[in-house]
Amino acid sequence: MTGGFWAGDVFQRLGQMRQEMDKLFSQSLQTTYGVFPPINIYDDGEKFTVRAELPGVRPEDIDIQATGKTLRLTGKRNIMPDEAVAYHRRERMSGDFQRAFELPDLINAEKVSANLKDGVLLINLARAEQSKLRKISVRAS
Amino acid sequence: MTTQEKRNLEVRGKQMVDRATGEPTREGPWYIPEVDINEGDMTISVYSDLPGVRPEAVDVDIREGVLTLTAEVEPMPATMRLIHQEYAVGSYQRRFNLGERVDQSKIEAKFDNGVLKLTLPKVEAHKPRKIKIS
Repeated sequence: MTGGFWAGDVFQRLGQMRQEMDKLFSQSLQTTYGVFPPINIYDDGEKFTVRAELPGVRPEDIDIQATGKTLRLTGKRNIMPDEAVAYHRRERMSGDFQRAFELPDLINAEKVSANLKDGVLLINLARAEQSKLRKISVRAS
Repeated sequence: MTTQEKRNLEVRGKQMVDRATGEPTREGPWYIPEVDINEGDMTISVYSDLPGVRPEAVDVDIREGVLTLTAEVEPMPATMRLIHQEYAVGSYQRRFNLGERVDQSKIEAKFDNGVLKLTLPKVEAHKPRKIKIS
């Protein structure tokens, strides 16, 4: 290896990265409760998975856009009232929604997939190659 | 994290099932699903939002005039680390008193895209009737 790129540096860099990531996560946790649909984001190392609960929403009424670090989710949830009825209770919401948020890393926009099943939208966003954490092995000489 | 929001639809946090009245059969959090209940001439309809529930995991039980709706949700795999949370994932349970107006033997259930629709027909005596004037 050349140019002082030795193990100690790597650990220091990883430590800095971790701090940066923690900062991002703590920022993300502060935000927005109370906007529809509520969103959870998971990370399995390779990809981010966004889980949104959208019961009764049809796939054609959801629009997803992903660029760089940003994911944008728009759509509408229309609950058609039955004809000629009186409501005893009305807790379910209806209307347009729009959400956009930043992921902690760059994503590969080519590798975004979305699936709507049983009222849950799962969006898988693969990390861009350059933002994947690489393991560097040190050989004994 | 959020750069743009639209507050057309507001969300209330999920309400947990009270342990004293609920009788959950499995571990983990239980929540009260949001419902719409409406009434037409012939039927009462109950729509329950049950996101994440597989059709075969919905259970509707009627006992002594109480309809109990139970729906179990599989947790996310443990390999998925939660990095941003706005809601909790858990199973659902809610009870409804049926009252004497409902024909308990003819209740129908339909589950589609995370929404359960219960159709509760009214007993004959409570259906509106047109009376002809001779």
